[in-house]
Amino acid sequence: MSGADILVVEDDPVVARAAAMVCEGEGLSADVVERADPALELLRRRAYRLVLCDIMMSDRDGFSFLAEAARRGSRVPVVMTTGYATVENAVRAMTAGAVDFIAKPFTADELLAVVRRGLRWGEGPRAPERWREGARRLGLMSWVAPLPDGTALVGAGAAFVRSAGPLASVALSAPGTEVAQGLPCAEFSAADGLVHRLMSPLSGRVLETNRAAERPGPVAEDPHFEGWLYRVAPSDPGFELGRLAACAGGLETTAGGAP
Amino acid sequence: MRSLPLSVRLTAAAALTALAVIGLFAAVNLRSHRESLIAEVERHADQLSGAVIASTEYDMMLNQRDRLQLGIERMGSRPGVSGIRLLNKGGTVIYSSDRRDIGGTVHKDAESCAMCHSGSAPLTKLEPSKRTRVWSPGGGPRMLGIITPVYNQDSCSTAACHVHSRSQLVLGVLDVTLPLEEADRDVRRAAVQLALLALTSAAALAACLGLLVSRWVGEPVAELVAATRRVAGGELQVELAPRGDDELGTLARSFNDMTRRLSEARLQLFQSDKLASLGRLAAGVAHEINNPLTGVLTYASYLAKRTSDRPEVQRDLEVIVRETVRSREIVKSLLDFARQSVPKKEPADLNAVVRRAASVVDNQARLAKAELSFSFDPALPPAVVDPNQMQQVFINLLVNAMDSLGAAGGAVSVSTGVEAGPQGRRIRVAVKDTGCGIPPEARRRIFEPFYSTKGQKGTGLGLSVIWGIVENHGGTITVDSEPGKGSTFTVWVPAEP
Repeated sequence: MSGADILVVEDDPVVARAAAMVCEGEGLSADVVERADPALELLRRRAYRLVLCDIMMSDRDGFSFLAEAARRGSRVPVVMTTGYATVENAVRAMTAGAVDFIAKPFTADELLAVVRRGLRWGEGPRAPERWREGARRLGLMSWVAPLPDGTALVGAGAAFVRSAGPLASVALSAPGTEVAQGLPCAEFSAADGLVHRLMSPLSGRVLETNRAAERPGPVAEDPHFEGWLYRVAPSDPGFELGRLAACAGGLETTAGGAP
Repeated sequence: MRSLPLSVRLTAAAALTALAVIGLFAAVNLRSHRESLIAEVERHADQLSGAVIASTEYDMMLNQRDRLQLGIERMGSRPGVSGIRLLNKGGTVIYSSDRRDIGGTVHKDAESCAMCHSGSAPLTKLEPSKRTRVWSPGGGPRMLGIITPVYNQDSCSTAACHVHSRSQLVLGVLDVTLPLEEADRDVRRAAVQLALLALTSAAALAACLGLLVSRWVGEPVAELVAATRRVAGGELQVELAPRGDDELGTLARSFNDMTRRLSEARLQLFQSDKLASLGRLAAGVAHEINNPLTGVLTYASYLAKRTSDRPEVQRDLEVIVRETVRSREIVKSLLDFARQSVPKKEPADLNAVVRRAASVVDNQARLAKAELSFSFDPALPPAVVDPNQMQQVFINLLVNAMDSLGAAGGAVSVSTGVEAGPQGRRIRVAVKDTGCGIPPEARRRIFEPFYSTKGQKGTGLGLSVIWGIVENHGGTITVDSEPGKGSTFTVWVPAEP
């Protein structure tokens, strides 16, 4: 059951080749397939460490592929990509179980960051997650916790931080900037030089950044509590919070979930 | 009949009905007139007969035959009398105003005699109308004849001549004939008059009715038909002039209402069609461009990583990467701008929406040292809007206002009100700040997409998207500003009709 490291499911041959090339340049092997059904077949027959899958394909779309792979018991992490990079697609991909989402066009490094993170996703033991009271999450990437005064705290998910590897620094948006649900709001620079972009769990205006997050320590060690990133004024909380998942433990927990 | 205009049909029907009614009336009138005339002549004849009998009685008793004959001749030649003759019991004409008749016999089966002599025994008494007959001798003018029995009396049976015995009841009959010519002429004249009256009345009625129908029904209906044709041809700005409070006036008002609503609905549909197709176009373009851009960006960035040993090449490749990333941002902004969701509208209280927006930015207002104040119109009518989108609009306007204040802070005031406009009532929401203001050249362009005075790469709503949202709601947004003093952004949306 040998396989390559990465399965690339993409119907545009140039993009597919580019993705495979980037992976191979890092010493990772990649199989390329044009359509979803053959991809599902390959997933069954061979072991992959990561799937890179386009949303728009000719036989079935990426979400359907994700659902079908899960139904067939696949635990391989899937990263979704698309040329129609809307926040709806991003949010939908995350809540449908993709571990990440990358919009086309991407640079080699952007793709690599996502691939590296995705490869590390399934590795290592997982401790049960603890979340803030009332928090909701965008996949396992980021979380938001509404505060009584109507504002909300935003931060990175532990799984995201872990899979980014040792952190060198965190670059945050300045207070006053707007963030949007499903779009990048912060950049985590890893020790290996890759830059990982964190997708914001909701839209709004940044009111305050966490001083403690200026050093990577608190963010890497306690991203859900001490390592929070922003306090935002949400622009459409009623609608957007509804699109997020409740926080009740992680995706795979060893014991029951924490509050 | 089907293709004639309504007014013509109504008028014709009215005229015909009038004609029929008047005609019937006239006919009935005429008949009674004729009958009374004839009855009059009958009465006259009867009276004359009585008078003749009375006047000749004495001569008869004295057996003055010549004097009788002369008397009868003289009476018979009077105008209005056609003839008088006296018949004996046997039916022989004894005396007559026309000497040629004398000696002739009238058989008892003749029409004049049949009334009394038709049975087995002759009748002795009969009312006048039964004793009269009307005929036209030789097809000429009509005559009325009346037979009056001469009854036996004591003075007759005891007279010296002993002609009549006591046992006889009827001695003979008097036959008086009167011409009906004048009566007939009278009736004919009356008939003509009535006919003329009927016709003129009908004509006058028709004319009058025709005029009124034409004015009250024909013209408004023609106007409505013309207007309907124009609307059907696509022209929705048609409006009918107001006319009165009757059914046609109400119809005209409903018509105006209908075209107005049609026009609004078409505009909305057009807008959402436009938006939808713009969105689709943008989505299609973005999708199509993003794939080839990926090829360029990925390969260029990959090569850039691998040419650290050739810095000039690497630098040039980095230019390609940078410019391609820039294209990526442009496409994304285009997608964001075109992708505004079609608003889900419902009646909403804009005062409440503004309050919600204010509560969201409350903290930030404190941080920015902005003094927020509100002046809500308590009688604000509802507006049909997407409350979420409008909330985003107000949040953005408030935050922009606060941003313009600078380090020392300032005042931001929001006011709501309603005002009447040419297309109905509009609700006005104004956000005023005491900030740095906007210079005139920038003011013209701030609602353009991609235009920014702050240089920030915002990923959220910009003024262009706000403008888009307000437009989708059929409203307008304007800005008034004085650099150094402050700005006022005013949003107008139509009130619920």
